[in-house]
Amino acid sequence: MVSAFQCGRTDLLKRYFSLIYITASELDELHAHGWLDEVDQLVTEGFVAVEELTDSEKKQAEVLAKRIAQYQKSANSDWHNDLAEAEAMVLMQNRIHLDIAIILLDEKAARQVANQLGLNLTGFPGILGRAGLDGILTKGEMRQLLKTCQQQGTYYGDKLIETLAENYGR
Amino acid sequence: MTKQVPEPDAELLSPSDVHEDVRALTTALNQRRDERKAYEILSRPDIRAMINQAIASGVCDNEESAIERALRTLITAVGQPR
Repeated sequence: MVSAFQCGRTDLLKRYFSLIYITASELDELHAHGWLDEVDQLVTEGFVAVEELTDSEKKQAEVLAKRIAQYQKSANSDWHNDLAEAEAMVLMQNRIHLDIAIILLDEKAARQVANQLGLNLTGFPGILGRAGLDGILTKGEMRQLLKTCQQQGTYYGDKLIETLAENYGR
Repeated sequence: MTKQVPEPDAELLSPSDVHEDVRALTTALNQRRDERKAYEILSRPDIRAMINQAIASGVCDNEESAIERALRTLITAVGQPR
């Protein structure tokens, strides 16, 4: 969601999803990192729904966060930094009634764990790719959007950007 | 307040992941579209009544078999495409 905020394209999220669930901790994390206005706007619109995890679910998330941290490139990775992704996985796994179709993850380590759990996943570049197939984004626009994210601290690799643009851009 | 990325040093997905991501999203979207279509048609009282009638007759065990059998019968009636 941060990538969509960074490049100003939450409209693409709205095109492909009717509702995005996040946990209360994820909301706190977004607030703490300066995305308060953006995320609160989506909550007000009813596009983002905030779910509170139970104590037992929070414990499950801790276990998953520690697992994600083990896969991080940095050996000293603090598992607390992986709680948001872990909580999203617990939400998808446990709350069957929410009927969550797909989890949005860009971080490699979290994706590895989600794959192990058999969760259906995609990332922000995947959303841009779909938009390209639907004729909404040109190659140039895809490059520009992901470069904008890069400049703001989300370091999508140059090769990834080229792969995406060349294969999926209009 | 300065806007930050929660984990700026985290390694992100690789180029080879992109294709699988697009495929996964496309599959999820198609599934939702199919579910919506199925819901819309099964919500129609006339369709619902016919399915119930097929089940009540004993020819079909459940809704799924009633729908499948109806389609097979239709295809038999109109013939296979050349």
